[in-house]
Amino acid sequence: MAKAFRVLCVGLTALLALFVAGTLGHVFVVSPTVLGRALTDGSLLPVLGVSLQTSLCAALLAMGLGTPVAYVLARREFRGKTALETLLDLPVALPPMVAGLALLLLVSPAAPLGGLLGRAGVGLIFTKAGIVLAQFFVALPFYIRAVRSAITAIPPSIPAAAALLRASEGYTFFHVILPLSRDGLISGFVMCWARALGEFGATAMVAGCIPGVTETLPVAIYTRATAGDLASAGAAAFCLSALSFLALTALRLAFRPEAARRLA
Amino acid sequence: MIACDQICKRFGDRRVLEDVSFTIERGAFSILLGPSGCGKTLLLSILAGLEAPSSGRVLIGGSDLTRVPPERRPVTMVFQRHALFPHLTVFENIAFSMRVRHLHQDAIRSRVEDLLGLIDLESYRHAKPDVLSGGQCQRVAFARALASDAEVVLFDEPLNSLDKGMKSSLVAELKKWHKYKRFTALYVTHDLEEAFALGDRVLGMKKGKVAQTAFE
Repeated sequence: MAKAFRVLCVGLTALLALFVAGTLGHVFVVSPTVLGRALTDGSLLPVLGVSLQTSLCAALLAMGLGTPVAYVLARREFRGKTALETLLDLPVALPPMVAGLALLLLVSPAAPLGGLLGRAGVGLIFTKAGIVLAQFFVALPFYIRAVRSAITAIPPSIPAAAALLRASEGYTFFHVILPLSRDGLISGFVMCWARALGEFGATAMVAGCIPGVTETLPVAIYTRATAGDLASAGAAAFCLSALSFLALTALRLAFRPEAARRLA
Repeated sequence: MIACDQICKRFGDRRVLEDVSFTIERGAFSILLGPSGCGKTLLLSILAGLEAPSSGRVLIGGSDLTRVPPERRPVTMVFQRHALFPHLTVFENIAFSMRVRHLHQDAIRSRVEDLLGLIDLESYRHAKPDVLSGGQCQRVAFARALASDAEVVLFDEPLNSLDKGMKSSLVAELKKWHKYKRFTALYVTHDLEEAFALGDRVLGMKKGKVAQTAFE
């Protein structure tokens, strides 16, 4: 019975791995000539630049604004906490197109906020700042979840000990909580960045697709594939997949258990 | 001097502490003795400011500190599981409260070296807590508490998880450190032997009430 169960588990794992590898294989098996041409003819590099720039900005913004939020959610009990947690998690479940439409309505010149930003000279529609906003909105929950889990894992006696050694809450946050949550901060940042990098729906709604200005890798894949240029779409898909693969591999290597690292 | 004046603590309808009142003289080493679950640790948390009482007052040095946050009380605590900062070395753990108070770097160094000598862990100054034994961790926690210059040190069953030999050696050392620093101590335990070996005075606690006081 135990052997049959083990065979079933191994079989299912192999089948699933084959399915994922088989599907992604089509993206990774791109002709070097096509890839080389796409990278040197000047059509893909600006797209790659926009994607890297905006996704890193979105992940940094999530880190700056999301860390205190994750701290409050991990350490404080207050009325409406569950509702707030659900609200902050909502962008994960929401179709990206809905998120994009909501953002578009929020920052359009006719809306109060959009009008205010417009008068201040800040344009978000069809700009890189709009891409950052859309990516930030969709990827923020991934960051908050990772950091909140890391902070929750710190035993309550640790910040209590800091307070009883005269440390203010702010001092404890910067000198105790943040260093002890380092792994969560890094993994949250990478997950958030990877999600921002692959964001399509909300980005397309808010920023459109202006070549060289607001064209990100996922948007480029869509426009090129729908225009029938599958080779160029494949090259863009290869770049996106390779970046995601490298990010996840780096994350796994960085967080290998200490013992495994010593054995390696 | 520490004084608890009619401290009560309720969680919903459940009364966990009932009219707890006692006074501890400055420089005394008092023991709070009672079975598990009788409210000893909760009372310690109220004295430290980590929990607020439902009613009653906490007075330290004659001032009412009931609503004062823990970082502004002249109180520190040695926890049952030592609560050392795992990302800091032994030296940095002991120096923590002095860095918070922005003491001069030379003063911090000399004070920490002095305390490392007192707890006999000079060779572990650069070690992180994860390589220390339970007894060594508690020694560092004691030194960290002494470095805070708090008037009152609260001990929450700090020797609970140690073996008998380590326990009796730390009891002797704790008595030595108290003689050296003369801090006011309230030490929570359920171990009768430990209580009478350490305390000037023993407060008995049962079902949320301080039931009796015994003098050694």
